[in-house]
Amino acid sequence: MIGAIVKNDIVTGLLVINEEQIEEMQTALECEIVDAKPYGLIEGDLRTARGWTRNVGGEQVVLELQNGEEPDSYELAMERALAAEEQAAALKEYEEAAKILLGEEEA
Amino acid sequence: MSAVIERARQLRKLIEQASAGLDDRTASEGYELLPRMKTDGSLIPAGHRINWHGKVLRARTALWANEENTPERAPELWEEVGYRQGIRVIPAAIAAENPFGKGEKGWWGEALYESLYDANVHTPGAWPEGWKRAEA
Repeated sequence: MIGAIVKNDIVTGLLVINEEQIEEMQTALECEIVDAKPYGLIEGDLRTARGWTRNVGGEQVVLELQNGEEPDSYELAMERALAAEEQAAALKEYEEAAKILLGEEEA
Repeated sequence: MSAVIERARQLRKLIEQASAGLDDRTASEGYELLPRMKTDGSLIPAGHRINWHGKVLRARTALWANEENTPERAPELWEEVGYRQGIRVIPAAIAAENPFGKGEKGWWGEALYESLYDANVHTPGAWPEGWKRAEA
């Protein structure tokens, strides 16, 4: 999932995280991590008594729950991030294989 | 271990086995194909060739693969084959039956030279006028 890092009710950043890692990460970062997807949270969003809000042109606008999957949704962003991670791992593997084939690493 | 890495290791063994059948010139062009010097205590037979930092070296005699017998520590146990990157290495004494032709390149130490004359049997050290520096 895409998690929003929340400190003092302000989103300070986003991260890709497995749900089972949330508790550990919250302790490590001394923050609260919430699912960023429902409101499409981004850095700077503020949690108020009215709900999640975003500063738009100097005005705090209450964020609506997002419905459906937009092409640039967090779900897709997460899928892309995970795919990129897999590609990076595969690339690293091929780099190692190339080194072995060139005799740069012990076979 | 992944299938790709495992396959690479299998192929590397075959590459090194196959490299033993290459002539010196070809082996020097593809020096990466040759095995590197190992220090695992195994026996290296006389004539065995290795890739030593891009140079193809041949064991002058049978020797043990250990730290004391690397080309760096025991250069007397190794000799460079007559080619480097597919180009002849200019020997200290060029045999009359194997001279350098005009335009032919040769390694003299770490530098590459080009013969300015046909039937050149003098090294760049002995007759600098017979050679000019060249690029690989």
